[in-house]
Amino acid sequence: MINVILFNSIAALLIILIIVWFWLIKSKSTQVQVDEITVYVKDSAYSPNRIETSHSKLTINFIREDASPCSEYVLFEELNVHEQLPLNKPHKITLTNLKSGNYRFTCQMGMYQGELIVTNQ
Amino acid sequence: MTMKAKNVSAPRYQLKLANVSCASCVKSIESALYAVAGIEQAQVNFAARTISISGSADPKTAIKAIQQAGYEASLIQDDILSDKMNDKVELKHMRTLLYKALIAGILGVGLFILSWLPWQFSLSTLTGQIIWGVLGIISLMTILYAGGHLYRGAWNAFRHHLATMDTLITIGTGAAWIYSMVIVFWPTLVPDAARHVYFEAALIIIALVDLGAALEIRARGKTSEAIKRLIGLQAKTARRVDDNGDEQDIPIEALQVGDILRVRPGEKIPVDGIVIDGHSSIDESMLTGEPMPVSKKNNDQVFGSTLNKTGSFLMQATKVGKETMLSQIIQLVQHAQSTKPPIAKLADSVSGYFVPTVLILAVITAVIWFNVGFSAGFILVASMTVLIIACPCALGLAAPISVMVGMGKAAEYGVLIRNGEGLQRAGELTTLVLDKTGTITKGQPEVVKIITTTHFNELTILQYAASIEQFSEHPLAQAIIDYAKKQSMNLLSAANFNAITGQGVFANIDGKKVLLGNERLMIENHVNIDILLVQSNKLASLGQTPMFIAIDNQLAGIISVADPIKEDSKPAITKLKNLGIQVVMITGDNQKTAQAVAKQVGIKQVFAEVLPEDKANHIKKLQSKKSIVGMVGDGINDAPALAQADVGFAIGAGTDIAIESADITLISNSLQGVLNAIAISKVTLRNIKQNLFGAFIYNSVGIPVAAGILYPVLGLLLNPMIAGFAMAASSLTVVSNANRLRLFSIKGQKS
Repeated sequence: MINVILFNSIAALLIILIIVWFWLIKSKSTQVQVDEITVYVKDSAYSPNRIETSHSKLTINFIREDASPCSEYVLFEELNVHEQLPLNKPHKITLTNLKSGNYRFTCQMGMYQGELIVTNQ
Repeated sequence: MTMKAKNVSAPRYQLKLANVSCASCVKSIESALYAVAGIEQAQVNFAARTISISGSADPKTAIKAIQQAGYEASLIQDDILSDKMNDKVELKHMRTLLYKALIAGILGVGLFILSWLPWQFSLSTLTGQIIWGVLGIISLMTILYAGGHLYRGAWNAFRHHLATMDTLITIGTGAAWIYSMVIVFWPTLVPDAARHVYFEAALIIIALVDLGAALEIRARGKTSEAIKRLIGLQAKTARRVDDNGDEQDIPIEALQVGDILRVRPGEKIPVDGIVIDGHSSIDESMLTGEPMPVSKKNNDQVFGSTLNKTGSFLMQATKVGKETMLSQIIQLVQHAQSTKPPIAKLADSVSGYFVPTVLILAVITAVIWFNVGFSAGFILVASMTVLIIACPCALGLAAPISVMVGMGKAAEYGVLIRNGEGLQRAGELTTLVLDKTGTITKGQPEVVKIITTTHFNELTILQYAASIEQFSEHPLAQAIIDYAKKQSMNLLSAANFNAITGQGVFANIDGKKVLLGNERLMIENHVNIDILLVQSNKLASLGQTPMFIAIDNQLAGIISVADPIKEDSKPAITKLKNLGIQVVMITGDNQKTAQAVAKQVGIKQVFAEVLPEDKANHIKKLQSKKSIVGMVGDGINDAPALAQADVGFAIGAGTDIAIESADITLISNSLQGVLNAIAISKVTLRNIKQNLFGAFIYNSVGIPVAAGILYPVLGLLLNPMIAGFAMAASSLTVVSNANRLRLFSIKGQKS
């Protein structure tokens, strides 16, 4: 009986943890002080993957070290930016006229996910 | 420009120059560079502020030399070159994956066979435990070798609060290994019959995932074949003619705007330019999709990578490097290939929640089987299979991979689609509005008919008409002059030229009074036109502009000028109507001409005498009737209408493809391009739907089956290794299905 309670409690806890960790908590954002930041595309993720800026212009220097074809493109869907990333070579994307808001950036399939948070007025 | 060696090697790299403000700076930069050992040649392109360098010196050294001369420079990354490099790295990546799959596969299959042998090592004995313990450690090492990238990816994603494909595989195989090791060390935890280890399952799953990824790289390589073919079209060298008339072959990277180039028969035209001497017919099908060669003469534009068929000619380069039409097309297509059609948005919104949901489903599966009273091994298998079979990749790949192939296919037919939305909408059109001038017609008035009265011949009246028109500024005048020049006719001098607005012109030629104009001009000058009046009216009803010519007040004939209808307009319009699309014509021309043209091509609905700014309003009105409206125009005058339409087609953009207002740019000048766009849109959309449907069905059937939903009824529980196989196969199926699009071809068209 104790086993049953224990097992079910652990399972319930796990479900809660999954929801909290993957949905409710977002990773800490990296504040961009100047108007340029380097983002590594490595091991199935963008690092950093949450970028915060108060500028209206931002250059993101993508360095793709992940050879998996999934990471070949980076898309800022709302900003209509779609760029092919070369391997092991920096690729700069300059975003201009940024307005306040949150912009998702992803690979083509949406597995690599990141967010750009613009807070200017 | 300084030439150092006669045989110039291809530039190794290009630098972007900053603060170079005057052409004289160029000299000092070049001489600074030539002072550096290892620089064979340095050529500045002042207009583009770039410098091409060949030789053994590395970019750093070159940049330093430029900085010392007081200027700034940075290395330009060559996209085309980096593409090649990506290919190489990807090939290496693929080989590594195959090797990893092989190692994990061999050990996995070995353990699998072992577990079926009658004399297998029992976990009830210490020897058995030790042997399995050792095998477990070997398995772990193999798993980390073959699947380390998955584990790293999962961990990295986890740190960023993300869950991916890697997460599923990692948890699935990791749980299998941990469970197995627990059984090895504490076999008494479970009943004797359930003492089974799952090392082989973890190994084979990882082998299959690696194998699937490797095959996917291969299949994906094919999806960008169209782009690679476009890149491959580029000529490698050009024959440059210098000021002294000497000719030498140089790599096209070294070409500059203004260079004079010789193009011989059978050669590719190296860059964009204009013909300055000679004529030829040129196969432009690689850009336009139109199979008929085009004849080119002086001042005509030619495009890099097209094929010179017959004549030899000299051309002057007007666009080089990234500015050429081919490069622009490549850039446009590359960009478009990564955009998404609206239909993909659903899959996108799902993808963010997919993996965590599957994790929760796996937990729920375990809870259910535990509470029903199944053994730990059964629970593990069911939950693990749920994790392994779920395939977010197939879902996420469904649209992008088809778009990639579809956009490339379209480019092969001279159809440049700006984004996924244009690609999807083109196939959904219910109404298509065609601009008349330049879209249905050629857009350039020509002499289409000459009728003479008894005492005059065609050549005479043409010569008089052209001689008088050379002083006129009327748009139709040029048509007559061109026609006369085509017959190599000498124009006569004219005196007392006069133009009467709304009537025509008159002048004295060879002492004769010559009148050229409409009915009113003739009547006011008392010229009797009765004998040609019927014919004149007939020409007018065909949409032509007949002009009377009178010599010494005696009617000499009619020269009829019209903007001729393109040969393929009517067949294309018929086909559009057959597709169930309502075809409408819009024009600023008068009703009579508009109706005449519409009748000839079989269009019933006509908006005539529409001011350019009102065209967009007409589109809006059609849209308010719930039609999905496409608009075809030249992209310059029609920009607002193209932007208003659901799909704006810019036609005949051969001269400038950077048309911002169009969703789809047709490089060729034919309405057939619209049909091609619609056909490709439809076939691509169908492909995407198949993929999305397949991926949704796969996951929504696969996951419950993996969880054991069939077990109570059929006693069926999926083997996790089969789930691994199904998962790898599902994303491969999506890529292969998209690749089928490559085989699509349009009848009677060359791609």
